[in-house]
Amino acid sequence: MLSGRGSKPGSLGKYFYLFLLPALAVFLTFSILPFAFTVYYSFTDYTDMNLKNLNFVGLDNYVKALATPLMRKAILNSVIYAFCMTGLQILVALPLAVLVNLKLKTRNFLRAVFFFPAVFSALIVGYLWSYILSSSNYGLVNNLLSGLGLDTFHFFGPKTALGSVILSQIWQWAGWAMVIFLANLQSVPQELYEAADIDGASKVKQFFHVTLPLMAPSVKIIAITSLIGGLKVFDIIYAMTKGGPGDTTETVMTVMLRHGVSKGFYGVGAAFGVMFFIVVIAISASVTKLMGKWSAAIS
Amino acid sequence: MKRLTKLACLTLGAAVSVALMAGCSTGPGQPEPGAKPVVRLTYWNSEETMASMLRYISTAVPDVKVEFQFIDNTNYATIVDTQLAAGEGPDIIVEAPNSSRKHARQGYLEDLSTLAKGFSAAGNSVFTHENKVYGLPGVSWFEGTWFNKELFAKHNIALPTTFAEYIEVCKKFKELGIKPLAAGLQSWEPMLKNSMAYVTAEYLSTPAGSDFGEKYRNGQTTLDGTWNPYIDQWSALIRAGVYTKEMTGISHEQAMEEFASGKAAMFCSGPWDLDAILAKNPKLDLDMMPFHGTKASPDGTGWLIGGPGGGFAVNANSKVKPAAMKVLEAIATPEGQKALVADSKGSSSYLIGLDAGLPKYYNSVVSTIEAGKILCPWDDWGTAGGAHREYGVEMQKYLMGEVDIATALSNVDKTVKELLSK
Repeated sequence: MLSGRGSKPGSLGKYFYLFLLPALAVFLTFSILPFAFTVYYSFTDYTDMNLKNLNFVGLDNYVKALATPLMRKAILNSVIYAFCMTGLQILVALPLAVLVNLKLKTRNFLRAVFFFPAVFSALIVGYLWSYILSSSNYGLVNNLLSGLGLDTFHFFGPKTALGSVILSQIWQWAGWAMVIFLANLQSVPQELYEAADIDGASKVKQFFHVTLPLMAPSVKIIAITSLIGGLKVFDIIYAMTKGGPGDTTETVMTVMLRHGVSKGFYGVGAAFGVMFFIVVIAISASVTKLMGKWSAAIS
Repeated sequence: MKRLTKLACLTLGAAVSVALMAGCSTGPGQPEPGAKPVVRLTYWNSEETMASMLRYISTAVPDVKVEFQFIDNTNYATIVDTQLAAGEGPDIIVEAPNSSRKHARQGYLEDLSTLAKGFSAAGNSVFTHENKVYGLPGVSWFEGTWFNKELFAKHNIALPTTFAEYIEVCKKFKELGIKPLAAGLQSWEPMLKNSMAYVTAEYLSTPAGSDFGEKYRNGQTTLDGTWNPYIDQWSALIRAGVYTKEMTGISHEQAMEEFASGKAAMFCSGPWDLDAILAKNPKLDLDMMPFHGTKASPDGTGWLIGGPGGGFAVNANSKVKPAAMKVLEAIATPEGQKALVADSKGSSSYLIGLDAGLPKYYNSVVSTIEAGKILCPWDDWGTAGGAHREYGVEMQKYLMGEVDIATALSNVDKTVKELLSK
């Protein structure tokens, strides 16, 4: 029906571009053009005091962005967050997936319970965890510790705040990763386990030599999406710490938003954005390559 | 498919025609002959907060139609900046003090000095650029210290009139096993406001410090080297254990909960939290006290942190400028100010001689408000006003022992310098 006169069989022929146009227009308008403008602004003296007569300033904005001491801290925090979040999420989600794949009576219930936190928005989770870990009289954990006669713990101190944020996010997203792993697990042919049983392989050996190699595709998906999401982290920081105390939990996105938008240094903000884009692409590419090598090695 | 293409062309053609017709029709700023001029007014607060005011304008200025436009606070500055830069924008703009000075410098605002004569100097000063007033002060926001009257009475503790007495009060409550001050130091705001209130009482309100803001925004002075002794004196609150490192794990809402439930005797905040506090504990008997310096004020007042949240400015490029000025004239009357205050509970007007008319919860600050002793130091920092956030963050770092006073203040100075360089 679609392949009219003059078009190749199985293709959309001359109407190909017509059908492509709406999606392309939307993508161009809301993604490509803003990014192109961001690159352009990153080379200009665009500020809230100078909105019209923009001048080319070369790499000044990039130098300023890198020279901001807070930016270095923010990059470090973002990288720590992204890698800890990714690694720990996988470490928690994999055994959970194996657990809920067992023939347990409660497995459907457990699957729902572990996945449940992923349904909430990061803001709700942030407020919830800030109450759970609070130092006030209403902090659940500290109330329990104090009830047990133990010392209370300051979860939002300069050295602990980022860890508390990571903890809340592992709680929220481990269930989501578990579902992806579970789907992958269920596609592993049963014959492989039967063969391993015949060969006398223990359950642990079966996990490392049968399950894990075949889980490589889902681990790769979780690692990449979690890393990119982690590097862009903003909402949970906003909800739980607002970058504090002091600036101990500032991330690239919080600094970029404040310096680039709130303070009106739009050119420098754009430079932040472009550099961050390059960093995310580089890290994602490296991890994809590493995961590919790992997957090839264990296969 | 040809039919489909024809149909698409027709639809597109019709859409373009409609758009062109709409473009050629009379815009909101260009009334048809005989029609009421439409004045567009933008604000970051919702229309409900201006309902009484808008009703008043419709009766006081019947020949002008005011169209209210709400723009969310997060995008307000960016949207207004862009519109003004394009030579367009709203006819009446509610301006934050910092942005009013910026827009006045850029020539986007109309001089309102004549209309502003009826308002107090404290209200006008933050909208003044090169001796001309560019915004009529709106309702003021203020922050003091809410206190639990029952706890004070039960333990026979008198309200402090000096900073030293305040520390003594805090110590007494600590000895009684009651948290003296609930503070959500997860936010950078409480220490910013509390420390600045002390500097206001000790320095900024004195002849020696009255021109600090002006000098600071002109790059002629710095915080580091000027404010150090005052911040050091104020740090007695940290040394006395009123502010603790653990409080950085408490949010504003959690601190409010502690105060509302009677677990803490005091809580620094403003009228915006009153409803929430009373909703949590309707039986709570509370009042607000001002901040104090080392010496008691002879008139029995103290200081509140605050200022005009927004001022009414007129776009210099407005096509209906006379109508916009008429609206502002109505706002500047006692009736206009009463209508403005009516929908902002606990706020007050800067119009000279207007009764504050505050509810009972503000009994202990009425004299302070009527004396006009409300100051927001960063409103005087000009285009660097946004650096007050850095100040609050640096105070958090100081509390945690990450920086000393000089480093904290010089870090704020660097941000201010950077912002002023734009």
